Amino acid sequence: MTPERPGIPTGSALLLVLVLLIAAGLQSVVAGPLSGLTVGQPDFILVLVLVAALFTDSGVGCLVGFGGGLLTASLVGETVGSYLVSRVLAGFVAGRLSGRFFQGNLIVILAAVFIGSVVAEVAYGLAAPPLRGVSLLRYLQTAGGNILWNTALALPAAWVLTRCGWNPNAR
Amino acid sequence: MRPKSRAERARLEVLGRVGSVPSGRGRRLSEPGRGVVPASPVLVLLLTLGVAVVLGVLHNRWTDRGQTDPALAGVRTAVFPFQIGAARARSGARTAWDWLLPGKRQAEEIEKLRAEVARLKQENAALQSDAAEAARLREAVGLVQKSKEKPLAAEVIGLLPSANFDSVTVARGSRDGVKPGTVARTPDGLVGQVTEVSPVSARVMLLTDINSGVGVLVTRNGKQKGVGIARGRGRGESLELVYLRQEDDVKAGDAVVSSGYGGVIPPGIPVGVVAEVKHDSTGFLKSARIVPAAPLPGALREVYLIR
Repeated sequence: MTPERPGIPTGSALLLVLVLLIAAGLQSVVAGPLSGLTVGQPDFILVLVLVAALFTDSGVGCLVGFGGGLLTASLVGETVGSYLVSRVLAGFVAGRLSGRFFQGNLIVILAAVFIGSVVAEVAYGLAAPPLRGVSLLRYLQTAGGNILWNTALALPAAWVLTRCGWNPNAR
Repeated sequence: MRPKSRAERARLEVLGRVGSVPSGRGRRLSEPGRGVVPASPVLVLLLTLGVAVVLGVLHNRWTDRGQTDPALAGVRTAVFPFQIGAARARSGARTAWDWLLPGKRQAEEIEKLRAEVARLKQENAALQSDAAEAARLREAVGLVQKSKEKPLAAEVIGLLPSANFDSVTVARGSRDGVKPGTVARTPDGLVGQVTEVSPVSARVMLLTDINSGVGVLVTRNGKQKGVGIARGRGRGESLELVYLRQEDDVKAGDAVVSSGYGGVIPPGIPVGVVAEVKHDSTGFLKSARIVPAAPLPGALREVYLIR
């Protein structure tokens, strides 16, 4: 059974676009230098996509995932289709969780971002396999690092989106 | 439909309470009870996946033809102000950090800069002498000097946005005359090549990227010792010099410069220094590890674009 959920106000949708653009700015300045300190790096855009999907539904998750994928692809400039497909799938999966669990639960938010990040990494890895000269172990280490970073950022992202009116339980 | 379990009832109670909040904050994307997107989620998934695949294929087609992807160029233009803002904030934070922690760090920096100035003065004097001699010789044989545009300074506004690729974004684009293939360098050496441009920004693939390969010469005291290709090995790694012949006399400490054979990258730009030579198991070829000459990738703040 699909629970009844309120719609997202247009203002909140515009705020999400703004927050995603700010995340893209951060992604291009903060994420890279962090990768010099740790294995993997955070994906601010993906985390926002996943939390927004969790707070709404899988349909919105796909659309927000597409937008997030487009932003990431514009920053990276390579494997555009793979970024788009992986983010759409991740948004869809995170959105599916929203109908099954109470979205306001912190553990659910962490789990959704973790699962969504795993889906994004697996989908991306399948769509754009590691290139020559990259060892599988290093590739997996980087992917694992990315997933952990994203999970660590889940709660701050949820707070930001709640402030933007995206958490139905907070409205 | 009646809720079956206690947990589901509780959840619906919460959602029902939320749904009763007056919606006085403007038009909503959909009405309560229909979800935010009225269409079936699976249909939305299939549609967005379809559009994603089409965009991916079109992007590859455009980039293969050396054209700009209009969709990504539009998104890049929208992101540009936020990238500039974030880059300026980072630069400000760094300046504040240096101001808060003076002393040893600044002393080291001053010492480094003094050494650099001394080296550059010496190099400048030698170059001026060479340039004067070249001009005299050119005049003697009646050659006309090739017109060369001045290198374009470009601020680095985006660093390594993905863990899978080594690239930077610079605040110069097609409206500044930047095109795919434009070479990026620092005073220290080659940085990479522009692969994509938008009107306001360009993406530079770094030498360390796993897709990068540059034709190079190995030199010692101005004499050529070998020819090969310097390939990137990914994040934080040195470069790999491949296709060296077994008889090439290459040693650690030899300079590696661009060969210019491809016709895209000008010859003679420093690429790095040989750190280690490895022999191939077949006995025909050998390879070498190169430490890049330019600070790659984290320390880049500005590059020069050679159009």
